[in-house]
Amino acid sequence: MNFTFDWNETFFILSSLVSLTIFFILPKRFNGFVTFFIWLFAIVYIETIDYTLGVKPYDLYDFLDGPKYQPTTAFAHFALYPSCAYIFLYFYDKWGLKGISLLMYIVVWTVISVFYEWLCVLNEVLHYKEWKIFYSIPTYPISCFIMIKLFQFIKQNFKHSPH
Amino acid sequence: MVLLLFVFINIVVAVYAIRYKKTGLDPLEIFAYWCFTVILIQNNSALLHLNIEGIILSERESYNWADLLNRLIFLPIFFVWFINRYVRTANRKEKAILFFLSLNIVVGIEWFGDWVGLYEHKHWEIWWSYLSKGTMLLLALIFMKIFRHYYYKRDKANEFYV
Repeated sequence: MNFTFDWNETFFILSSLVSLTIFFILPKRFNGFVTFFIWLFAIVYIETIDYTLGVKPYDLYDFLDGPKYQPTTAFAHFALYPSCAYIFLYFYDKWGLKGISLLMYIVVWTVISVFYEWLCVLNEVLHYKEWKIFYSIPTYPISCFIMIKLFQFIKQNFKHSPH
Repeated sequence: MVLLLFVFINIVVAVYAIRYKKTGLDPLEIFAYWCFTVILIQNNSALLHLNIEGIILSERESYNWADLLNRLIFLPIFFVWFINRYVRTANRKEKAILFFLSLNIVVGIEWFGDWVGLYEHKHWEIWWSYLSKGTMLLLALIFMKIFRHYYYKRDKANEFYV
């Protein structure tokens, strides 16, 4: 378990801190439990994908210094991805997006996400083995769709909660 | 064949969980316990497999999918069932019996996975399985206690939007 701490870890942590800062400076919109549910699910979602595609038999990519599960990766799983998911849902809900505007919103998020992934590759956060960046393009709209469905599930059940 | 077996087990468990309405838990509460348990199980598995190398996952694709199904459906639903039973049991002695029974079942599931070849334990003592799974059950209970404490304390000001 020998982990180094150099630029790629720093880049990953800085990205997480930027995302967390945006999360904290956004005016509070949802009940704390709604945020908590979004946060929990985003962790489950990203960990499931990384722990399925990043290990054998697929072994499509590694994070940071190799195949080990590293503290910086864990930090990103628990901070970067959930805060991004929250920011995505925050504006989706605030602007009441539907139809073409929702489609455009998802396209913009896909472009930003693919660009960030490319930065991760450049900064050696992500090491592709059998993966290519264009494989990622369809995964982001699917992730957006899943997060919207999750949000609707929470909203529907929050109303009916016996409290 | 092994994948089919686990697909069948997971479908049975999922259908049972959906149809079994006699639960004292709120849907979002179940969702929170499911998420928390999946995070526990996956982090435990990732650390043991990638860092400690105490378990070696099979490199057969179908076995990997079977293990994924167990991590996402079978084990988390069992944990939710355990929490639900724990909440509904008033007697301390019965709670302790439930805990030890559940611990043995979870360890049994882990070693059943080893036996059919989903993964292999390396340089592993069985009491480590009891220790890790016992810790996970305890963490699930602590999470449940904290969650319920705040979740059911919400007042009418606590709507979906702030």
